[in-house]
Amino acid sequence: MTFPISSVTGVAGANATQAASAAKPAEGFSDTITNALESVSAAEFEADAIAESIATGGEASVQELMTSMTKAQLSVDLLVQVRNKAVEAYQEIMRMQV
Amino acid sequence: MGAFDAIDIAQSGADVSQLWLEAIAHNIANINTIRSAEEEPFRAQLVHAEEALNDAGIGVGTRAVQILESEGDPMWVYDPEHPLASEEGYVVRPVVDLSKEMADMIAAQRSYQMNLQVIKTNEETYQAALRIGN
Repeated sequence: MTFPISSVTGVAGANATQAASAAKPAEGFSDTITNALESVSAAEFEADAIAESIATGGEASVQELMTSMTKAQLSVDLLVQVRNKAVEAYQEIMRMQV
Repeated sequence: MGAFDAIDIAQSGADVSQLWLEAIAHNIANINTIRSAEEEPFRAQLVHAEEALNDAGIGVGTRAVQILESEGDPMWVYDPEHPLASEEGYVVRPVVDLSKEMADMIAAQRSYQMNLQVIKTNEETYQAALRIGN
């Protein structure tokens, strides 16, 4: 028994998804990265503000500065790892033989 | 809940430990604070810390709620030449137990170090998680 070759419905479905995403702008990868960069930048700014407060004899404590700097550092590390993975995936695709 | 909650909790512990160390420094600095016998003597300060809970009742660290003063009978010293002496010739010495303050100082220092160790361990754990897949 043979099956007739049906039309490729998957592509039509993909087009429909694309149309839906065009209608409602979903958050793309670049937006995700931009948001992540902004929050990492905010963590860095917070650490900077505490460092300035300590340098100028403010209320902040040393452990507060070190923890906020650690948090900023870890945020940067996480972002770098996400970037590395994304670039890796991109290069893997670019190496594809067509 | 955030990714750095454990770090924030440990920092709250370190903050309270630092406040405790400051109170001990204040008490030791005032070990010679002599007052007239008619006045209330200097009393050692104690930090009253309490657990901090979020709205869901989950522990989010510790916080200092108030500063208490140590109780106990002060020591009146007969020193009629003292400019602060009362009419009967007495001055009052501070209510500070120096050996207790020194023991507390060790505990406060260790408490501070423990909280920093928690932060360090947490950072190492996080770094290990970031190495997944590498």
